[in-house]
Amino acid sequence: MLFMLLSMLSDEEDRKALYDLYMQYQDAMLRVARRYFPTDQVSADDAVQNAWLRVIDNFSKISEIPCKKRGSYLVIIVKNEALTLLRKYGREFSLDESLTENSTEIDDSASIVDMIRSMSETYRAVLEMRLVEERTTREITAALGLSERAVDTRISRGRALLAEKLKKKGYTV
Amino acid sequence: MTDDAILRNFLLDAAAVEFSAELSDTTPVDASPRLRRQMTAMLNDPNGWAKRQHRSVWNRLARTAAVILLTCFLSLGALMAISPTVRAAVITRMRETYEHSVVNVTMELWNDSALLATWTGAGADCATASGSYRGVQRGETYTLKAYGTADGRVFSVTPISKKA
Repeated sequence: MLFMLLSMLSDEEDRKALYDLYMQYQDAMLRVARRYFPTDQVSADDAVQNAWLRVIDNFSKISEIPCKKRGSYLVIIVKNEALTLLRKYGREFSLDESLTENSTEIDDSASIVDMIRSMSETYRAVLEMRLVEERTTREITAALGLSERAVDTRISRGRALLAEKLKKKGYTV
Repeated sequence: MTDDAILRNFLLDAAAVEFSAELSDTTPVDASPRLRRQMTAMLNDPNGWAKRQHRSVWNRLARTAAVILLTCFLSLGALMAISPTVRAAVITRMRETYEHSVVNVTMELWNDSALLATWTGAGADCATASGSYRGVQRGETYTLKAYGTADGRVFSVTPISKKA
């Protein structure tokens, strides 16, 4: 609790930064939420509100994200909040164990971004929650309704696959 | 750059591609009044708004109920202070409620037409009236009468007479 309060917005500069983020990305976040809730405005609003709550709770992390990637960071947060709400409402939401949506092997020639995009929704959400949002395993299990073991397996498998792919592309991992 | 930082960058890039339409669209989105209210509150006081959002549903419900109750009491108090009619109505209502919820009982000890002793009692579900009288004399006939109110209605019990 103390950590949460300390990590909240501490001064006027942070508030100004939050305001700038809001002015720049609020519409995009709402559009993303509406992609997941095309006919349910209340849920789309809730996803956006929950996303801003996460942003405020973890505001110190925002500064670590390069400016030009902050939009992506925010849409990842709102997308994962939308997935959490979909699971909470018991709506259709794949908890697929397979790494990719079509369960085929990843083509070596595909870019890393393409490979990430071909991952099944929950696999990607688990990796994003851990690597981008820096959530704990417990937070991820609560959000997605998976067991801790399932979360850890997905993280390690996803990490290993991405690392392998990165090596093939010449990155030193 | 650490492994995780590299992977994080690629995840962010993938999101940028995935949501490029949403991120590049510049047409304003018409937000609902509810969301606009919440966002205005957030921008005005981000930390306060976040704290309010973190409060549990029960906590929020209890606070709302307490506020409603307090408002009702204060409004009634103000009305009672201003209007004698309201004051009289409230007092009458309270008296009626009290009388309807309390059982009152009175017991009397008589010797012919002389009232020798009286005992009373009151209670919510049952009422007990007890006592003693030490002036009983042999050969005299004494009568015990019991009456009272229950649920606002008057009741009496058939008197009991006994020769001492």
